[in-house]
Amino acid sequence: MVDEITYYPGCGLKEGAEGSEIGFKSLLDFFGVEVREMDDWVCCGVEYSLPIDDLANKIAPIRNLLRAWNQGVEELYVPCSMCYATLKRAEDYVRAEKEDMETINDLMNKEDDYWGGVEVKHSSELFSELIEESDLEVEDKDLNLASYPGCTLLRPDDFSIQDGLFDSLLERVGFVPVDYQEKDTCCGAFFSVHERDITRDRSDSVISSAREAGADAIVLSCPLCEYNLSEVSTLDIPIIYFSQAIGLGLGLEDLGLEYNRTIMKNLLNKLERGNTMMEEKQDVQRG
Amino acid sequence: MSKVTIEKDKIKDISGENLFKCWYCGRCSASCPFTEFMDTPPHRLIRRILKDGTVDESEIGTIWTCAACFECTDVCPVEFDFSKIAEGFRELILRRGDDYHSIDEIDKEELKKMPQILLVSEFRKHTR
Repeated sequence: MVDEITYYPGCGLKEGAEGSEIGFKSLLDFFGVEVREMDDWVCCGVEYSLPIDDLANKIAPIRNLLRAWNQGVEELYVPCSMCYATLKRAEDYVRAEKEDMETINDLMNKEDDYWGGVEVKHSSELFSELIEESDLEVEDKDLNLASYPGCTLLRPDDFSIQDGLFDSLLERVGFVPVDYQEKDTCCGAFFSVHERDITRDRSDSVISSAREAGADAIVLSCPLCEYNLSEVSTLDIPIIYFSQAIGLGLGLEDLGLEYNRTIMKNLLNKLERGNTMMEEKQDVQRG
Repeated sequence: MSKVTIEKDKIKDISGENLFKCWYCGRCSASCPFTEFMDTPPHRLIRRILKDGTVDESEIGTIWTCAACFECTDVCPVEFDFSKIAEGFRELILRRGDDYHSIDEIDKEELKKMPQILLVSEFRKHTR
């Protein structure tokens, strides 16, 4: 049984996706797991750098892995999908490209050398372990949830989480997972900066497909997906983080739902949970 | 329409991916959620580069409309990674100093609401 873990938050969880972090911590508290935030973390680089000839752009995630390793971390848990993918791919790169790593270690000359060692895991993999080991009994709920793991947890195959993990865990905590056409597609990613019509088209497709399948809410892990589906799409549906969904399934209170961009009222009504305070908090958060 | 000569070897050097692996079967284009926003679907762009060595300027839009979502990578029967080619192609242009977008183009009010990961992501892919 895991009793202590270290996690890498990344910038998203500190501003904009607070709900993901609060939900994550509440869940671990429920399971009696002590949580430690990694020290001295820096930006993960967000996008894993694909060019093979530009080693400087590979440094950001590797620096984080090195620092985690020096702090004695063997398994690093990451709730943000973008950070997860970048760190996970970087660790694989470190282990495979020893020659490049000679240069990269030289470039990071003020720090120790890094040759790999940290296992990067997404937070849902931790929840899965904890839930499997527990003898939880939860009531079934009349709530349909459309999971939306997002590109960075699904592809490329070598770096993906287990297929169907979100759905099986949602079912385990009493929800009804729904299948829908656009479940594995892209939300429109970074096009929401300059080509918003592209992102709007994609995000609208995802939401309408989930709604057609009868979803009451969308459950995701990526703060960029959350922004696109909530702010850029023209359609409405409550959007919550995976940790928050599991927390709702377990009846936990402190899930940071007031930080989410979409309105939670209908979702909480369906779960027959008091929401007056929640609404007020959300109004304050949204200004 | 002005034609642009494509330096195949340089794309290969940057991306590490071999353009000749592609069979032009079109599965990448069928799976890509962004093809409707492209003048030329991914597999046809590869074919044009290999066959003619040049493409129309508008066809380069394909690489700027790739989000690196890896749907194409996932379905390719010969493990050809178009995402890497698109990145190599983008880098080739960006390294000349030709940024595709500038932060000045963003509406100031919208900018305040945009999460950091969105902005970093955009500027990693579209600027140097």
